[in-house]
Formats: sequence, C-alpha cells, structure tokens
Amino acid sequence: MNLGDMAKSMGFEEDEFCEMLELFVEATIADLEKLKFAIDQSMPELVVEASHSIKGAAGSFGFDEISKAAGKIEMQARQKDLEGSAEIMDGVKAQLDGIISTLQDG
Amino acid sequence: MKKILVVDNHPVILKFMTQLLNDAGHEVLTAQDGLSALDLLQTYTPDVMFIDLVMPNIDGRRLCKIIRRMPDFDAVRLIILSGIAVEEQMAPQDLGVDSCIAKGSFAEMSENVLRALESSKLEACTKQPAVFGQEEICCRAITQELLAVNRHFELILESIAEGILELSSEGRIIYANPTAKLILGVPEEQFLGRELFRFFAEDDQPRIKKLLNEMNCTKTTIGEEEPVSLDGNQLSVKFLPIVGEVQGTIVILNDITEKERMAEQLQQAQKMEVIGLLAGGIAHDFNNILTAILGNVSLAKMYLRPEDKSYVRLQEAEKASMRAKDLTLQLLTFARGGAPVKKTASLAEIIGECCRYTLRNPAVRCEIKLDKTLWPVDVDKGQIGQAIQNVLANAEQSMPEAGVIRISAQNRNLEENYNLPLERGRYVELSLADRGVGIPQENLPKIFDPYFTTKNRRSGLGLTIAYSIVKNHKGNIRVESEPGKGTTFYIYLPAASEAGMNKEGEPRILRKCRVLVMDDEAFVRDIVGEILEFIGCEAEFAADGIAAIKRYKEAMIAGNPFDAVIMDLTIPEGMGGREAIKRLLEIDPNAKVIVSSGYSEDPVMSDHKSYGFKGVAVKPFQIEELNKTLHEVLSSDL
Repeated sequence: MNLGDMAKSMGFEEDEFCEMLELFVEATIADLEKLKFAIDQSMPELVVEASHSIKGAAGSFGFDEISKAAGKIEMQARQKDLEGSAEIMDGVKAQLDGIISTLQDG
Repeated sequence: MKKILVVDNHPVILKFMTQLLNDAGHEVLTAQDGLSALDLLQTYTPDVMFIDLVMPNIDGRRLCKIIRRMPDFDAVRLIILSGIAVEEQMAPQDLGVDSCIAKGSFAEMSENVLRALESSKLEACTKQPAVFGQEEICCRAITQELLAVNRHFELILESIAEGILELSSEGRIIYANPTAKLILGVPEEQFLGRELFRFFAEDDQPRIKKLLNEMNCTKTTIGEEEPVSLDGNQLSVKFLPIVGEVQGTIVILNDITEKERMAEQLQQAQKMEVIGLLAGGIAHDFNNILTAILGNVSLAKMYLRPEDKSYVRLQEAEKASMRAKDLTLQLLTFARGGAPVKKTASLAEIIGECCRYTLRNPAVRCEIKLDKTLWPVDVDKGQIGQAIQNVLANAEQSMPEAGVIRISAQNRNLEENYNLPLERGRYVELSLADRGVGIPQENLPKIFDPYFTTKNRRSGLGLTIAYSIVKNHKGNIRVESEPGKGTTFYIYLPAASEAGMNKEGEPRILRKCRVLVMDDEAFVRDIVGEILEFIGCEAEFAADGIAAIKRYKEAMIAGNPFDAVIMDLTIPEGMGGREAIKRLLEIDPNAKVIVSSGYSEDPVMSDHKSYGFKGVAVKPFQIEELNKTLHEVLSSDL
C-alpha cells in the first residue's frame, strides 16, 4: 500500500490524506474499544453503533475488507447475534495494525 | 462563497468535508452532534448544512425537524449525508430537507457534495453504485427491520403516561417523549439543548441543579411528598444516570397534580360524609323535639284569642321554632344536598324572610321590588331560602362598608329560543344586584365551583349550594358582573302549575275522619294526636310498622277502617314506613298513606308517589300544613 498513490487516486494531497488517515485510525481505535466493550457486555445496540461507524469510515477510504467485516458485525448485531463478532473484530484490528504500520513507515 | 455547517460525529468525515469545501472556496464550520450544532446556530446562520443521521445528543432526523421549525433558518438548505438515508429509502421531504447524499468512497462523496451544492432544486436521494455488491441489498432489508424495532420502541415511548427526558452530561435536554413535551409546555425547538432545571419554578431550580450535580451515577428521586412545580403542575421526578459509553441522565416526570387534587377531593368527600352523618343524626332527634315544641305552641295558640297577651308571645315562639326547622334543613342540604320536597309557595314570602335573617351588616339593606302578580313557584321553601340567603351573603360580603342589594322578581314566559339552558315554560325570574367590588372576568366561570373563594374564612360552598339547589328545582342561576360596578345574580324558578295554584288558599277543616299515626317517639304521637283532634280527626297510634299493620287490619275487619295513615319513615328499632307501606298496600291497595320524616333528603320523601305514598309531611308538623296534606290525600280519587 502506497500512501502517495492512494492519496492521488482519491484526489488528495499526500499530507492531507495522511492527516485524514491518522484521524481514521484514532477514531477506529476508539470505535474498536467501544466494540470490545459492547461485545463483552452483550450490548447489541452499541455493537451496531460502533461497527456502523467503522464500516462507513473504512468504506470512504476504500478499505473494503475492514468495511465488509465491520458490516458483517453490524448486520449480525442487528439481529441480536454477537456470535463470532469478537473473532471478526480481531481481524479488523489486524487490518488496522497494517494501516498503522504503513502510516508509521510513511 | 457559501457559509456551510457540517454536522457529523465521525472526525474523518468532518475533516474530509472541511477540506473539500474549503478547497471549493466555502466557509466551513463543524459540529459533532445535534446539540453542538444547535449551540452554533445561536450565533451563526449558515447557507447550507450537511447533516449525518446517526449521531449522539440529538440525531440528524430530530435536528432537521427542529431547524425547519425555526423561522430564522427558513433559507438554510439542509442536505443529509448518511449511509442510512439510502438504505432506508427515505423521502427528503419527510424531514424537510433538500437532498440526501449516501456516504460512499471519498471520490463519490466529493462529486455528490459539490453537485448538491450547485443544485438548488429538491432532489431525490442520490443512490451511489453499490459498494459491496449483493450484500448491500441484504443490509437494506436488515436496516428496515431495525427501523421497525425502533418504531416499536418509539411507539412505547409515545404512549407512556410518564414524561421521559434524556439529558446530556451537562444536564441539557436532548430528547423528550410526547408526555414530557406536554409537561414542559413549550415547543421542541424551545427546550431541546436547554438546561432542564430552568423549566422548573424558580424556587425549585436550585434543588434540581444541586441534585443533578451531586447525582454521581446513583438513582435519585423527588418524591410525591415533596413535589417540584413546573408550569403550575406538581411533579415527582426520577433521575436515572446512564451508565456506560454514553454519559447522561434519563429523567422520568410524573404529573401528580391531578392525583393530589383527587386526594384532596376524596378527603373533602370523607369530611362531608362525616358531617352528613353527624348532621343527619342531630337533625333526626332535633326535628322530633321541634315537632313537640312547635305542635304544643301551635295548639296553645289555638286555645287563645289573638288579643291575648300570651298569643303574641306564642306566635313569636312559633316563628323561632320555624327558623330552627329551617336551620335543620339547611344543615341537611349542606351535608347531603337533598332532593327538594316541593310545595307551592310564594317567592315574595321567602325573599322577605331571607332579607330579614341573612344580613349581618346593619349598613347593608335590601330593596325589594316584586311584580304584584308574581306567579307562585313549586319549591322546597327551606332549600330555596338557603339558596337566596347564600347569594345575599355573597352580595353583602362584596360591599364591606355599606350598600343596597336590589332584589326584583318578575314573571317570564320562556320560549324555545330563549338563551338559557331551560325548558320552555313559565318561570319566575329573580334578580339580586349589588353595587360591590364585582367579580373579575377570569373568576366568573369558577364562582359556582366548590371551594372556590376569594374571601378569607369563607367555605367557598355557598354559591355551589345555591347552584345545586336551583338546578334540583329544574331552574337556572347565572351571574353578570363588572369589576368596580357590581354583580347581579339571576335565578329562574319554574312557576307552579295552574292546578297547584288553585290549591292555594285557606286550609279547610276536614270532616271527622279516622287517622292511624305510626311513630316510635311517644311525644310525637301525642302531639300529632292532639293536632289531629284539633282539626277534627280521630287518631289512633302505633309505635312501629308491625303494630300499625296489625291495627289497620283489625279496624278493617271490624268495619271501622282508617281513612288515612301517617307513617314515620325511619324507625330505628323496628319496621319503618318504607317496609310497612309495601305490606299495608298488599292488605289494602287503596290505603291512603302519608309519609312523615325529618329527613327531607331521603329519596322516599322527594319521590314518595313511586313508593306508594299519597302525601308527604315534613317534621316538625304545623297544623295548617298537616291539615292541607290530609285534605289533599283524602280528597284525591284513586
């Protein structure tokens, strides 16, 4: 993943894009914490809220895998089903870690 | 350049929109939720607002509705920027917004945002190419389902009788269900975002404020015993802190004004019941004693010539006893609001007596002007007298210094189109006018309400009693008043039927007839016996129903039947009139029975015919009255 190319493809300056990506990472880390809390406490409404937020923001950046995974958690939670959500969430975390290291390298 | 406000809780979107719109040469402000947006709108009027739907502290839907209700923001273009907007297939018009943009990739959003800004026309939701292919469709169905669940909860919140509010962590209102809206009494745009405590009565504000500050994640209640006041209503309040991610408080408002009023009324009713029992008990014994006094006085008078010195004294004693009788009746009417025992009477006489005995202030006097051909009325003299006295007392009170109460009465033939809630027919219109302080316009509808009074140490029942008495007579009472000029009460009473009028006049002495008197009190039997003897009747006695029936049967068999029976309605330790008449009519369906009682409010007294009685005699008896009643009963054909 090359940040410069990504920024260009979306019509942003690179530093501008990095700033937004940092914001995304920050917000998503917060959302993931919320999501973990919600799954632990079995609060599907809160799971929906957190995963919906992640899904939307990831979608905007074109992070389709994160977006799809978050969308799946959201969908299940809307049916009050939290089974497997924690595992999917771990996948999202791994993906995010990838983005974080790319950012740090850049 | 346009002034733009972007409201979204995701920092990425805020950043993205700021950059996009700044680059396009616009001024951009951002807010993270509906509440912050409302704060900004206090000082900032944007041209366009981009609003996310899913946000904490007043969501996008509500924010749009509120803005659309604020006249200052009529010109603001509202654009929804949300993933939900498209999934929900919502129509922008429903929220009063101008267009909807689905969230998608930055490239797609850039294009749609800029296009929406250029376009001035109302557009339907701009659907983006599906980002996730097939999954999107499935997602939509689920969102619909979720919305149905939401609507279910909304329905519950909307139907609940308690007011429910959500407060932000700073104690500001961000949600109110319909009941809470009613309690707050102001439109949504005037309370959303405002601090809750400010809506309470000034005296209660510090209490609420302190409570909210010191709540510390524990439930707190303002109970019914110490309610707070909001917009004139008494409320009990529960504060429930929201635990978890979102900080805030749920407030449950309970309007206990009605409950308190009910409790007061119940207490009042119970008090009245006790007074009623007491009054009834006293009245029964008191009336019997009065019967003895009045009977003896009346009889003693008969043995004297009018020119005798003691005759005048006895006459005075008789009058005083009559007033005592009226007092008992008043007590009963006050306590139980009894049905009237109507008799044909002259209003002039009643008015005269009322004026003599009601006014306490010697500087207040009555000026009476009555139509000379005033029709007689069918009334319960005691009750109507009390109604007039209550109105007079009210008039007297309104003229604390001095004054004249002008009383006039005239005949009225009311046609159908007459502007009064009365049946057409012949009425006597009585007006009582004072030149007192008058009644303020806002109090006029309340003056007949129980316990409504503007005067200290008045019960607030006087005019209520007057109203109920007049209503019970199928009449009407109304009031006209002008502050500073005075008040006039108009009382309409149905005129007596022509037949009733013919019965007026001197009582006729009866032929020698036989009357059976049933009463448990020996002195009442004695006095009635003597009265009957005086008017030329032969009397026999029984102490209760069983004895009376036995005696009636014996007399029938012996061929010397009774012409009439006078029965006491209430006999504490035996068969009373109510039961005895049934048995008596079985033996002799033509029996002419008069019911007698001091309890004029007993339904049997006011509706005696349907119980089989032919006449009524209210204790204490007067010779003339008893004579008249007996005459009527005996001369009636069966």
